[in-house]
Amino acid sequence: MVTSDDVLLRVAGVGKSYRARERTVDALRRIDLSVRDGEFVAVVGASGCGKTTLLKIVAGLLPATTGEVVLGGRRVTEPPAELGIVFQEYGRSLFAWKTVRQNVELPLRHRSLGRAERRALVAEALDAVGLGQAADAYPWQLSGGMQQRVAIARAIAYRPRLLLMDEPFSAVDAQTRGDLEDLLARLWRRYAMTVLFVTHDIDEAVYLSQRVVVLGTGAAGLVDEIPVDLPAERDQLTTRSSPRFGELRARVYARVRHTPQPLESVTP
Amino acid sequence: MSADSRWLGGVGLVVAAAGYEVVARAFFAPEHVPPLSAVVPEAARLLTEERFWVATGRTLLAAVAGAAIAVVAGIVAGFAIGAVPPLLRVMSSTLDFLRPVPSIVLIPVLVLVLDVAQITVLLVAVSCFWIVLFQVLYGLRDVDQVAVDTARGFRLGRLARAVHVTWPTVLPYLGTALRLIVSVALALALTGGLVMGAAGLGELIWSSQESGEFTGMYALVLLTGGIGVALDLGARLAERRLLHWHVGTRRELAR
Amino acid sequence: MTGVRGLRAAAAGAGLALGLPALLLTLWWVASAGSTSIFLPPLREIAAAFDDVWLSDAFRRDVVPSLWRLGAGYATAVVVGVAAGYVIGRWAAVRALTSPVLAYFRVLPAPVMIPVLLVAVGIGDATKLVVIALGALWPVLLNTADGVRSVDDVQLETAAAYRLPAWTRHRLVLRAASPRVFAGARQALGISIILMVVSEMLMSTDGLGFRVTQFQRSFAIPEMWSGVLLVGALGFALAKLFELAERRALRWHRGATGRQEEAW
Repeated sequence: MVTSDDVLLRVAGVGKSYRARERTVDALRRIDLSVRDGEFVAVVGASGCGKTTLLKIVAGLLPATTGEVVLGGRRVTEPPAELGIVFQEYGRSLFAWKTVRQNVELPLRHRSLGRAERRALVAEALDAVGLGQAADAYPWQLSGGMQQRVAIARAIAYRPRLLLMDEPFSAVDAQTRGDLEDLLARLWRRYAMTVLFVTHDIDEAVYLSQRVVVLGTGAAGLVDEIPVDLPAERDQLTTRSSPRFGELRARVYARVRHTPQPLESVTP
Repeated sequence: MSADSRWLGGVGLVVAAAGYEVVARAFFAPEHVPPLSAVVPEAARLLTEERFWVATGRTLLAAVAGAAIAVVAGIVAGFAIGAVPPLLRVMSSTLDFLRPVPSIVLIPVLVLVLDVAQITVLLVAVSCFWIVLFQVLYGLRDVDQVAVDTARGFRLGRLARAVHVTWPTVLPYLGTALRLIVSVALALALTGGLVMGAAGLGELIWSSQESGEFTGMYALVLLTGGIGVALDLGARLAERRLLHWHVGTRRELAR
Repeated sequence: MTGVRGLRAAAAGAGLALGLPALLLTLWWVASAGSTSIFLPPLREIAAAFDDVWLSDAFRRDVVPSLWRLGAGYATAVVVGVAAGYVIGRWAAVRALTSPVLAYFRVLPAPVMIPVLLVAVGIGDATKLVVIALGALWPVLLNTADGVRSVDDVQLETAAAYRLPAWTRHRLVLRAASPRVFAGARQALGISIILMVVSEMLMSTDGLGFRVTQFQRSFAIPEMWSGVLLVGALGFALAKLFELAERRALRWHRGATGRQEEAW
C-alpha cells in the first residue's frame, strides 16, 4: 500500500503520442505509477513499449502529451534538481575530452559547493564504484564496464533523491553485468536513494527491485505491478536459484509476453 | 526535407535577396554594387548571348580536362604508393610537404614557357591530383583485411584481388573525391582566366570589370554561382550512385 | 609522452618531415648547377636572390603586409564561421532558413569575389582582407555546422538532465564538434593562402603575390623563383603549424576514435 505522505514520485495519467504523417502513434497510454521514497522499482516490457519514453518524461527531457509527473511535491516540466540519470550508452554519455574526475565533477560545478567539498564528493563517489585509482584516466582508456561505473559515480556524486536508469547494463558483457548489479544494490542501500530502473532483462528486474512494473506496448499502458518479496540481502548465486525467484520471474515473464499487441490509434 | 523546412528555405532566400537589394540601394552607388533588380535581368540577357556559352564551355573544358588528368594520375599514383607499404611511409612526409603548396605559385613560372590555356588545365590538374591521391590512399587504408584474406583463401591472384576487393573499397572514396574536386576545378579554371586572361568565364569577368561593365560583371558572377550549383548537384548524384551499393560501413552512411 | 623520450620522438618526427624535402632540394641544387636556361636557373642563384630580395627591406615591405592580411582574414573567417556555424548547426529552424543561401555561396568559386569586391569596395587592404575572409568562411562555417549538428544526442541529454547552465552546454557542444571544426579550419587555411596570393597578383601594390608577378614581368627570373619558393615554404610552414595545434587540441579525439580526422 502506497500512502500519500511517503510518495516521492507520482506519475499520473501520463501519455505520449507522436504525429507521424497523418497518423497518431501512441508511445505511452495513461500510465499511473507511484514510487515511495527509498524504493527500488524496476520497469520492464517488450521492446517498443515506451519504457525509455516514460523515463525521459519523468526526467523532464520530454514533455508528456497527457498527464503530469510530480517529484517531491513539484510538477516536472524540465529536468528537476534532485535527479540523477544513467543511460545505456556508457561511452557516449561521458565527455571524451574530460578525465574521469572531471566528468564526475561536471554536474557538481554548477551547484553552490566549495571546491574542497566538491572534490570530496567526487573522490567518495569514485571510491564507492571502485574507480578511485582511475580518476585521471580518460574514458577511452577504460573498459565498457568501467565507463558505466563512471556514469554511475557521476550520478551518485550528485546525491540525487531519484536515480533513473535506462537499461544501464544491457550493453556490457554478462560477467561485468553481475558485478554492476551488485554494485548498484550496495549503492542504493548506502545512499538511501529512490531508484527507477528500466530494463528488458526480467531476471535483472526481479533480482534488483522491490517492485516490478510491467508496461505493455502502446495503448496497453501499465499492465501489472508485481511486488518482489525476496529477502533484502541478495546475491547472484543463491537468490537467482531460489524457488521464489523462479516464481516471480515466471509471473513477470507471463505478463510481459501475454500483453496483447494493440492497434496504433488511427486519427485522420 | 519536410515541407516546413523547404518553405523556410524559400523564406530565407527571399529575405537574403531583399536584404541585398536594400543594402545595395541604401549604402552603395549603383555602379559599385548594382541592386538585384538590375543584375538579374542582365543575367537573363546574358543567357541568350553566344559569348557567354562559349566562355562557359571553355572554362568547363579546362576544368574537366584538368580533373580527368588528376583522376587518372591520382589513381595510378595512389595504387602505386599504396601497393608498397614502405613506400607510403617514406613518401608521406614529402606528400605532406608538397600538398599545401598552392598550385597557383606555378603561374609566374609556367607563363614563361606554356600558353595560358595549358597552364589553366595544369593548375586544375595539380590541385585536384592531391585530393584524388589522398582519397585513394584513404580508400586503400580502409580495405578490409578479412576480405583480402578470404580472397586469398579462395586462391585469387593479385589482379583478381585488386579487382574484386580493393577496387570496390576505393570506389566510394573516388566518389567523394569527385565531389570535392568539382568546386576546386571550377575555382582554378576561373582563376586561370582572372589572373592570366585564359579564354573563359574568368577572363570575361575580369574584362567586364576593366571596361566598366559592372552590372554585366555582377550578372556573370551570379551565373557562375549557378554553374557551380549545377556542377555540385551533378557530382553529388554521381557520388551517391557510386556509394549506394557499397556495404554501409562508412561513418557518413550511418547518418 | 614526457621528457627525453618525448623530445627524441619530436626530433625524429621533425627529421622525417624535413628529411626528404631537404634531400629533394639537394638533388635540385646538384642537378641544376650547370643550367644555362634562363627559365630554370641554378638553385644556387635562386638562393642568392632569396637572400638579396627577401631577407632585407622587402621583408618589411612585402612579406609583413601579406602575412598580416592573411592572418587577419583567416582569423575573421574562423571566428565568424564558428559562431555562425554553431547557430546554424544547433537549431534546425536556422538551418532550414539558411540552407539555400548557404548552398549557393558554398559552391561560388572564391576567386570570383575578387573582381566583385574590387568594384564594390575599391583597391585597398580592406578589400584583400575581405576577399580572404569571405573565401575562407565557408569551409569553417559548413564544417562547424555539420559537427554541431551531429553531436551525440546522449551527450546533449546528459547535459540537460544534470541541469548544466546554457553557457556550459554551448561550450560542451562546441568541444564535441571540434574535430569537424578543425577540419574546416584546415581547408580554410589553404583557401586563405591561395586568395592572398591571387588577390595580390590582381589588385595590389605590395605583397608576395604582387612582387612575384612583378619579377616575372621584368624577367628577373631567379628573384621570381625565390618568391615562388617562399610562397611554397609559407604554405608548408603554416600547414605544419596548424597540424601541431590540431594534434594538441584533439589528443582526446585520437584516443577515443583511434585515428585522426581526415584531411579532406
